[in-house]
Amino acid sequence: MKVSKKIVLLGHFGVGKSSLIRRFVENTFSEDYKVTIGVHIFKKNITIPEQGTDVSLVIWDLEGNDDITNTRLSYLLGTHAFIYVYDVTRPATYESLESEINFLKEKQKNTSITVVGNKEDLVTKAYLKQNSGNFGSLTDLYVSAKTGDKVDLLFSNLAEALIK
Amino acid sequence: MLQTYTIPYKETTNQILLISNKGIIVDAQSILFKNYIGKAIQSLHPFFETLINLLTLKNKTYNFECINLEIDNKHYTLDAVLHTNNSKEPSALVIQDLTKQYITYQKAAQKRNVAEIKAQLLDYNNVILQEKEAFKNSFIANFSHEIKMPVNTINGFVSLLENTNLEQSQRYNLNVIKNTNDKLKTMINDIIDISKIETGRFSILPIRYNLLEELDTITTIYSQKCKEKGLILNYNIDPECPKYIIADKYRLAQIVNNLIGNAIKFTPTGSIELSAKCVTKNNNFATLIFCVKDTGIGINKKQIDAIFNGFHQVNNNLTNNGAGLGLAITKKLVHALDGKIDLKSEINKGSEFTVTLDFKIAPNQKEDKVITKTSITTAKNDIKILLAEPLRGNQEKLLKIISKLKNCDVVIVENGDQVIEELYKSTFNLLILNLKLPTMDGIDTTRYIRHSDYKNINKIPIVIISEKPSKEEENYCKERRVNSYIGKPFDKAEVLRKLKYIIQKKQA
Repeated sequence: MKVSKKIVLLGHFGVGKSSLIRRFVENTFSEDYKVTIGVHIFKKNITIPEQGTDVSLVIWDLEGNDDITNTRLSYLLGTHAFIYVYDVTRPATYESLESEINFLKEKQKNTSITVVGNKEDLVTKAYLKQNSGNFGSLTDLYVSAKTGDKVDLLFSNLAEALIK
Repeated sequence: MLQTYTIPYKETTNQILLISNKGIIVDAQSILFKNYIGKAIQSLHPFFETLINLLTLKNKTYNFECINLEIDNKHYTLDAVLHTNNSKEPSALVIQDLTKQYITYQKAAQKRNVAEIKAQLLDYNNVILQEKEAFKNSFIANFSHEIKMPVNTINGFVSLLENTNLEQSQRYNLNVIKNTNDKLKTMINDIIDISKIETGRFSILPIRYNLLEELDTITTIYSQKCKEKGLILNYNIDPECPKYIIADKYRLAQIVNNLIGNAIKFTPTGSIELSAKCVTKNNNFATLIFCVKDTGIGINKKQIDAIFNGFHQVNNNLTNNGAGLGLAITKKLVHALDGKIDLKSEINKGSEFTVTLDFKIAPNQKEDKVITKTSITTAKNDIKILLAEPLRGNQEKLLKIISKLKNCDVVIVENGDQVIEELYKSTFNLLILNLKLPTMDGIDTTRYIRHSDYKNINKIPIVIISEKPSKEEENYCKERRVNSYIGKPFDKAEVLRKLKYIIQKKQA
């Protein structure tokens, strides 16, 4: 059985959305920051062994925006899951985390949202613990596009949850 | 400029595709890419997968802006409009290629985002740095307090042991403990000093004082140390140097002490010379050059810059001569006083440190009046009081009252500068200040004292005497960390009660 699921990545600019996708799809990483305008769409097929299901993940990499309400709503049509990405080293990217998540919940009531803190490699575990008051309660996973840490886990968990 | 924007818009290219409800391209132009008639639209690019579920919806229009696609190995940034019809007729997908226009936008966005990310990171790094600095400061403050206590305890017990009957080997061992502990104490004080300078928690507190007398005191102390090591200390002061200057007496002494101490440390034989030369002078200011020259081991040219950095020792020898912070502190102190420090050195011939500093010349170059010291009883007295009172009548009245306290030594001075000088010379249990003191009034003197780095100075209880007392003035004084306030005319019982209370509190 093969199913197709649309995943949309959102968050401020420069948080590493494109890097996470590139790490997942191509297993590559570049230190150079190249701004995304509009949307880039990628596809990767994965197999969920336990269910014996092939999942085609169509991943939408949206242009970073410091105000989620400016997102072009047509991009969200038919979305099965959101991944909201912030940068653990830049407070501006997680200061409005709660309101941004609430906006998404309002717009797409039944769509799951996974909140991800990227650039985990740049900080210590103690730092994450100290700042847990700022983003801890909403964060599902800390990842690093640079090292690849927990990137596959993020997408495979999501795919598994989507086909349940 | 207009043309830059006009040309790409002129070149905009559209392509229309008709798509069946099941996503099959039933008709299409081939302006941008091949028409792919008969193919499933989603096979061209994953973007089109999103459209499949929309194709069955009747008479709707969906706009998709700024979509990045790659078809036939060519990259497009395009806007797409999907018009769905009824179930019998295919939907129309109008694709408008705006790649060139979006490149202009992309470049602007790149520039803006990079600048904003940099600014955000800079702000955040500053916050992190400030937090680290605050942590370092509190750590050093706590650490120094905690470590000073056991070091002082060791000193105390070493002194007790020194006065007991010890065998020669025991006395030798005790001396080793004593010297090591002294070095540890110096090291701790150096670390505290350097941390204070670096974190800006160090203050410059100028007073009027006798520079020549101060230099004389320093050379007297170091003459003895030189003699013990078989060195000669020469002392050469330019007669043009002003006698009374307004400067931070403690910091200047610290600079000169560090340089002479360093010279003694690194001079095995020969001599050390301290000289002070006045290079410019007018009615208000003088520029002096202090020079400490030795015939010691000298410093390699490559090491000259490095020795002013913390934790550096010539030959990297950290074992016998402290943490190597002395010269780093000296350089930072000289810079904090807006001066400069230079070093000339030659291996095995010696070193010459010169410090150039500007000083304010005190307007009054006359000798201070002799300070009066009064002992209330002849027995060994426990309480030392410093009374700063310019009026003879007040001095007499207060002395009569203080005599009731018993076992007191009273030192009388007449201005604020003398108060500071006396506090540096010896330890007092209490300071009584007239609010209207000459040179530095009672409040300024209090401010100076409370900002001092020395605990036996900055913690001294202060009583202010006011000629015209008022509640507002009393509150003003107490807000400035004065402990007690006494107004004239003196109420003998009240003055005694207040003084006794403060002394007992201090002793407790």
